[in-house]
Amino acid sequence: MSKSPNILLPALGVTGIALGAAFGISMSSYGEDKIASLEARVDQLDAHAASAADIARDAQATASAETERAAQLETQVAMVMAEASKKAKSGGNTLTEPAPIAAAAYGLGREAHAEEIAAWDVDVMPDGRGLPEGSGDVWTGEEVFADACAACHGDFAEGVDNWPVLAGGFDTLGDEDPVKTVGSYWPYLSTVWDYVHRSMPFGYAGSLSADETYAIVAYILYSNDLVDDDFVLSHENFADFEMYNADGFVVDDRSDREYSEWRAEPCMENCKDKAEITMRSVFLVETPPEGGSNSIMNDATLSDDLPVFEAGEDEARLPAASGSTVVAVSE
Amino acid sequence: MDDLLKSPLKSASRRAFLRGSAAMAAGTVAGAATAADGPDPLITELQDWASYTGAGVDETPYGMPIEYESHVVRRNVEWLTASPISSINFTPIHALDGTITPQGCAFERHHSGAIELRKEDYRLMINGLVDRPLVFTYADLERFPRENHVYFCECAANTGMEWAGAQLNGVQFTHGMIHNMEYTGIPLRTLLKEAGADISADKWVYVEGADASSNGRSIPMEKALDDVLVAFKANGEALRMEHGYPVRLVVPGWEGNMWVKWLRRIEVTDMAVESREETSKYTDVYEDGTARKWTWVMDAKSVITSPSPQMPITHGPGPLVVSGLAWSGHGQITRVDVSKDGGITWQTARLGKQGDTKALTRFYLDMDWDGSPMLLQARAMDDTGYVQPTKAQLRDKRGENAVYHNNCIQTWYVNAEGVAENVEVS
Repeated sequence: MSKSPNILLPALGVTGIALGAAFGISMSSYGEDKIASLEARVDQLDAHAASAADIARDAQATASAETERAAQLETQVAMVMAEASKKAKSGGNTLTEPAPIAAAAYGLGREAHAEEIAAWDVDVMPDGRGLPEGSGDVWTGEEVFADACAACHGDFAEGVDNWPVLAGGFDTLGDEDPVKTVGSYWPYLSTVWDYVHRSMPFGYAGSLSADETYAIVAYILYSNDLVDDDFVLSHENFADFEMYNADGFVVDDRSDREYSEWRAEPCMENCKDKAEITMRSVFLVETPPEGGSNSIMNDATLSDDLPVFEAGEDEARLPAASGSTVVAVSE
Repeated sequence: MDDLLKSPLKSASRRAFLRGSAAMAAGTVAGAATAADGPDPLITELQDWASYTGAGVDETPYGMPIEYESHVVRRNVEWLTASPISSINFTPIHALDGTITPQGCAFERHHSGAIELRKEDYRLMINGLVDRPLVFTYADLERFPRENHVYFCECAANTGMEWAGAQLNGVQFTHGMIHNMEYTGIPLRTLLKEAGADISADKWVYVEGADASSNGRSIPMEKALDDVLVAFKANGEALRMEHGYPVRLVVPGWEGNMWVKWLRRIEVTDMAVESREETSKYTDVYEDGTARKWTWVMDAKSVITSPSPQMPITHGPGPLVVSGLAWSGHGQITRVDVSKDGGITWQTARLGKQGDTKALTRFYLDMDWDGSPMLLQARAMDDTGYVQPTKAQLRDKRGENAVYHNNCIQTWYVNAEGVAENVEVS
């Protein structure tokens, strides 16, 4: 006679999912009453299910009533879901009916040749998969770096002008101005090899041989004091190298850190005691008609003639010497 | 930049800039007075355009905006990046209305410059964990069933300069790394299926472009199968060169860097590649030095586009349309509230239409401005119930060393003359 809960619980599970989906889509504009009534029903059924479990051994009638309710609820849920899906279609950014999904392949395109895949599939995975055979030492790397990289990154990977600094910055990540370099920040050596080999030098990407790339990467490690000057990097010892900041990353944690707090009905009135300007823009941006823009410092400072707004008053006050109320907030 | 700061010329032009806005306000009021004083010659006198003929139909085979709108263009900020080849510019959102961004003024972000790639020379490869590694031509892509969707594309660095404080005085510069277009494309899942890809949940799709940067990014399979498009048209016409002609990836709701342009290869992998763009860039450092990665979704955000520093109130007190944009990478915008007193009280704005999912929503607050100063703010909510945070809330959670994903509430100080400035408030 535990049949009743067994039927009910899956039904409630489905309802929960459906309510979640429907609620997400309809928040503000649609179906609240329907959802409210469904929620009420779910509460009702929860209570019934609990009591049904207790008295199941002698409650055949109750069980059949619950079964009936569950069936009703499922019908309602199906309706809500259909409505939600309709809503998702109309308001949910579908300008065309969904593209059909063919049972078999369309047979378009052609098989890629092995040479084509070899030419384009050059990415290197964090575990070193994808690396070609080869090697390079620090001293060779210094020469290649001077020719191919130093114009932007500096002879010692210190960076020129606004171009990226590649060396140093250790233990600055928690500072006010963290220096994020290959040494201090990059978690994987594979990323360095991949990027240098594939996308550098700037303006002549893809021109470095595998050995040159190993040498440049070895030199960048050396410029970060991560290896000695006799270091040789190769496909064989690559995977053994652990970066300084390898454990410095966490995967997106906004859901726990932020969403849990910020998904709440917001304040509309008297949300704070006072609102006053604490900082003005640093740069004024001029927009010449010929294109581009010029930015110049804004030398305006916080001054007495800035307004202050206070809760409970429908006026902005100017805290000037006179202290007089000057302007009213329009509603 | 030091030179700029010291230059008396620049200083003078700054004053001119400030005076300009105020003068504009005064000028308009005066203009209205003249018209009220007597008959308007624009009406009473025969105008050239009402007498002579205009331009013929073929004068501009592909039309450009009229010269009077020539100021509505993309602009960059020269000191932001080392070179315009690897740089970004900004959509003139202050001057646009509605929701669709015209391609010609939609922001550009290149890592190795915009390339010219003919359709005839275009190839798209799918390889990796697939039964059949395939190569498609552009013509092949046009034979797959396709869909149309409107989506916003926002650079993860949009508003990034504002982390430390109020920086750039213009909504184009604080919020202009965004555009919103109607895309025509093939669901990525269709191509994955065509190649017989391993689509189990722990797999990834690595995508890269044909340009020198290649800008590779890893996308988890769940997203790849959901709403990602391989797109070749925007707003009904071919993509512009600067947006990836002939084919780009559209990754709805996720940071713009993943919308790989000049898409040339899709590789199914068993882990994230951890490319340069998903480790050294597009990651943010917390106050303790720990960094977070894979922050793909663009959270709900809104901003008032007018009035704003580039759009001062020039008509004086009376009817005023406060207008702005709202969007969420999680879904639909359900509500936008506007505050005129720096966040003490809020009133709900009118949405131009019910928001499309992962697309820009336009909002309006139609008010009667009495000419008193305002601290204007907008606050968006999406259909997950998420409420756009204040700058203080964001800093509390993330510190001040973040670069990307700044979706804070923006404040414009509008003074009694209608001049607006980017400020921070308590």
